[in-house]
Amino acid sequence: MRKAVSFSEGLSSDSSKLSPSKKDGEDTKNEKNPNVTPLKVPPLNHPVSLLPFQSLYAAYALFAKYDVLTNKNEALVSSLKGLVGLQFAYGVLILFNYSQDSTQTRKRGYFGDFAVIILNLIISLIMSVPVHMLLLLFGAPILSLNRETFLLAAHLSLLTVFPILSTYRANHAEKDFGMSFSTLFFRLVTVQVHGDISKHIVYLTLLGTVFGTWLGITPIPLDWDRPWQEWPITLLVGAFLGNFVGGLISSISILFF
Amino acid sequence: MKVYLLLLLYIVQCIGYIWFLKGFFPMKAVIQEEGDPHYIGNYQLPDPKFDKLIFMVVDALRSDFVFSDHSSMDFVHSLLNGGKALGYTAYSNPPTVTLPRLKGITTGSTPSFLDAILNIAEDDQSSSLSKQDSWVKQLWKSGAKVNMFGDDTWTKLFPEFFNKVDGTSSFYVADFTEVDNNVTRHLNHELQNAKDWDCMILHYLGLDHIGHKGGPNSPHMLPKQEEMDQVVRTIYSKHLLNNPNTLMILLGDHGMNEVGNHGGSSAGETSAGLVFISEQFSFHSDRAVPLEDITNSYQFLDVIQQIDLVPTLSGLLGIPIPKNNIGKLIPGILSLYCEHERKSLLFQNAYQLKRILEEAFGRELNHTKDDSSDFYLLSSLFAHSVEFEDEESIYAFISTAQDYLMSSYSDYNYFNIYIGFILFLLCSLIVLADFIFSVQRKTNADKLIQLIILTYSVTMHGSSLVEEEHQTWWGLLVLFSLFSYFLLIDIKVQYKYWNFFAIMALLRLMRAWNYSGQKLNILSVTKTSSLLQGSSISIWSIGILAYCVVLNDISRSFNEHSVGFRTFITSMSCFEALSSVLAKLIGFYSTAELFKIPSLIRFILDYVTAFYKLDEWKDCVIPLLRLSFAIYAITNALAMLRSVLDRSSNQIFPGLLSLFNLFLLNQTKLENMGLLVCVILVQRLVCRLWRHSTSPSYLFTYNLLFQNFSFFCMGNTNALSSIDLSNSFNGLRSYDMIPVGVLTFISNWSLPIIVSLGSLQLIKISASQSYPIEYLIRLKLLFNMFFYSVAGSSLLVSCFNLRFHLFIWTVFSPKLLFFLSWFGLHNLLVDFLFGVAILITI
Repeated sequence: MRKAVSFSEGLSSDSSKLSPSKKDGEDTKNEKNPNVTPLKVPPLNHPVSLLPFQSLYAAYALFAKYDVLTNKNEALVSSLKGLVGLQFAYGVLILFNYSQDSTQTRKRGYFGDFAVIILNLIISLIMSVPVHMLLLLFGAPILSLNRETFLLAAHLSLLTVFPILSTYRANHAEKDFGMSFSTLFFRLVTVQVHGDISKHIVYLTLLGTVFGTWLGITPIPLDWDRPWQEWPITLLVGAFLGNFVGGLISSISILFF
Repeated sequence: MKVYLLLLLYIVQCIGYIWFLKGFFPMKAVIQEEGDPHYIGNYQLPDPKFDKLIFMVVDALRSDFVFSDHSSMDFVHSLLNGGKALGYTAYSNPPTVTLPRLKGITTGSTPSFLDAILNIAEDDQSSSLSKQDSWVKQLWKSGAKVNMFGDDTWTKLFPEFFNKVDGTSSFYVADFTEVDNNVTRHLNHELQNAKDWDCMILHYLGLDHIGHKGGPNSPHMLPKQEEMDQVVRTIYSKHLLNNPNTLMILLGDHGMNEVGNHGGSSAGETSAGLVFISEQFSFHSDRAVPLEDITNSYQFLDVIQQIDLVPTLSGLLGIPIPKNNIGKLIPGILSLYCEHERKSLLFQNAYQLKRILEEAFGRELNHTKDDSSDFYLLSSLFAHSVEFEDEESIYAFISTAQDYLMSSYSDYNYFNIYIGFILFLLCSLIVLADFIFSVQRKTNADKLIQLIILTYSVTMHGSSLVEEEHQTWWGLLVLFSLFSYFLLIDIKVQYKYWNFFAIMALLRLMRAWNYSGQKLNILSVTKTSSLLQGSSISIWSIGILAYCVVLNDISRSFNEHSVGFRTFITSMSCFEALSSVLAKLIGFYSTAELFKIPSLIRFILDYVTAFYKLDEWKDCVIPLLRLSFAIYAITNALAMLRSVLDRSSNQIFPGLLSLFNLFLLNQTKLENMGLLVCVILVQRLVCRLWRHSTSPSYLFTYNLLFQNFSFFCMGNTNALSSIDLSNSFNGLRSYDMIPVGVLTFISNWSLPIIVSLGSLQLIKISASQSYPIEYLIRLKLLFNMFFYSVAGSSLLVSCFNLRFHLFIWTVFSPKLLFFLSWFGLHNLLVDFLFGVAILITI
């Protein structure tokens, strides 16, 4: 149990250290009052503009541009490169969406902001290692197809970890949301949000991606023996589509309810 | 609803299900009369080409064992290349199990699915073929003397036609050598006294046993092929060479799949080898064997139907074609005859098939236009062949008739099907209503459970989803683990991350243990069990570890009792484990490898052998296993007696459970023992995780998911070929239906049984604090009935809907039977009756 907590703290280097004992104290507090402080949705100007069209394009490009059916590995690598570019643009979009009056105390200038986005991209790519582990744990083949699984993990990490890092900026977490980034991150990952999450577009894209990947496994055992049933393709397409659908549901909820 | 009413409903539902099965697997209607010579117009049947037959069946002789470049049957190759033999790849109709295949090979009919089950229920009288027409019967009627040596399935099929019989039992899988020596030892004598017989049937089982034990690439396989080759050489040199009028046929009744099992319809299982051998032959072959199997499809030389053998054989021996035959004459053999003779043989085949067609359509095969297309096509083809009398048109009719008969000649008893279905559905609706009204408070968990049950029911409608059912359970289990962990459980356990990850890692390990199913099975290298099997040290150390874990469990679970009693029970259990391990050890090594056993254990074995006054170690297996059963019975009885006498100790339930775990471990395959450790560990971790959880619905769902998941982890699939028989004969000297059935069920369902009983402990720990036990029992029964009702209704609808589907006999019908044993055996006996008995006595 302690191990898991320290692991999470290792993720964000500059997060304020919470001693384990304090965390346990928080634990017991939760126990008495299950309705702990709801997670704040990051203050965004136009959340609907964050509808992730880029994942739709990435799914399309996987087949039309990179031709994943004939040379799978090369296509996955180029698709990953493309996704890095797309997610960079998405990061910029998130950046411009932040309300000016939100607690942006320290002026970094454009250069600093871009540096943060690039840093976030790098962190997300590193995070694909734990994502790979999770995939193995949830049933990915272990002794074969490692390359494919890793490329899938990198895609998933870019689709899920990166937007979260960009919206909940690590160094502002304490100030903006009232808790350390590691706590925040684990509450997100373990779905302890305790509020109306349907209006939280970035978070719904994350849930959509996970669920889409899970659904993406279903065609593989079917005996149609088509090239697109090969290992990571259906999962990746499921992830892309789930990402978009999650965003879409959230957008509809924001616009109409 | 009261518990006993629910139980009554459950039994009615079972009856409905069995009624449905009765209609779905009807005994096939056959033409009972015997084959007179068929009417063949103005033609005369040609004189028989042969007067003696040697029919050599090698069980599971797959085509590549004879023809491929990996085969070591060199003498057969030389015969084939020299033109003295003619080889074929014979398509063996599923179910590819010995009894239905022998029926097919002798009567020429396609088997009904029921034959596959009767193959396991060995002593059923209804499988006898003495009433049906077959070439064996025709030979017997013509006064020929038929000798049979080998598999006793033959004597069961033809109890009265054999002149001389020496049967060997086909189910004692561990024996590779004796079973074949028992056949070969007759050869010399019979070949010297060839005047005493007209037909000799030899059925060798060793190759099949090697396949079941070690797969097609087992180190025993090539020597066994050489041995079979040697038998052919002996017969050829001693008999065939001097008797050109003797025909020899070498064939496999079916093949085997990549792991050495059979019963299904994969390419390996259905491709058997078939070779005609005679000194009379001088065929010219342009394809020299051995051939390379480039496409890995086991298709060598020409491909024919295995039942085509029957009319061909009848023609060659000059006997009438059996009445129910739907095979067609093999064109290659027909070149032995002149054109006129060929035509008369073909006509005989055509008239005989016409007779069956008329039986199937229920009317004369007249050439009329206003009929259904099949009937019209067939009758016009027949009219055409009678009119022109040329070989092509007759052959066209024969082929079309065969295609038609093979595809559609199965009749369902719709009355029984409807009755059974309605009964089942009515019960299901009552259960559904009860479930909806009695579970008032709908939580997220209940919604998730309904989603899981619905998803599972939907998968009943896809053939590959049934074949790959383990994937469904894995996906649902992962989903349930995630949700139950993050959404549903009380918040205070949420920081036990490592606990969750440990459970997931164990489940992942279990999944990798066998990778059952059709698709992943081929990647056998990635399976944990195959990795373990690579070295005997690792597999035995895992086995010993499993025994240690279970024995430790036993010792711990008798904690409440006095030290003396605890020590006594534990040491008795150690003794039980030891005797079982010794028996497994002897079975593990073949006779030649026995020297590999460490010297200390050899000393013990010598002692045991001397104690029982036996000659060989191998003879100790049965007494040792019986000893282990006896000790189990004694310890169990003592523990129960103690709890009765000693009213204060209510802790007997974990004790009995751990004793039963040891019994189950004895019934588990060696390479699956590690799985048992995994299951016990997962149960403990879940217990720790859910100690404070109070919702019984989770526990029941978890029980259901984990049971099914663990069943597939053991390498089981929804195919009859995956039924593991290696522990079904523990302690038995001969086949006896009831103990063999019980042991087969226990050894194939051992993990689900452990899960089911272990979850009772979980219920006791976590839920019984806040709910009365009667309520829990009722809810558990209702919950399981809800699951089986929804899934079963869906399965019945799917099977009825797909009753003309290509895979109905290979995928859906076995699933029906597996569901029967889940629903009627596991759920009723283990999950419910046994469980309730234990819960009440706590």
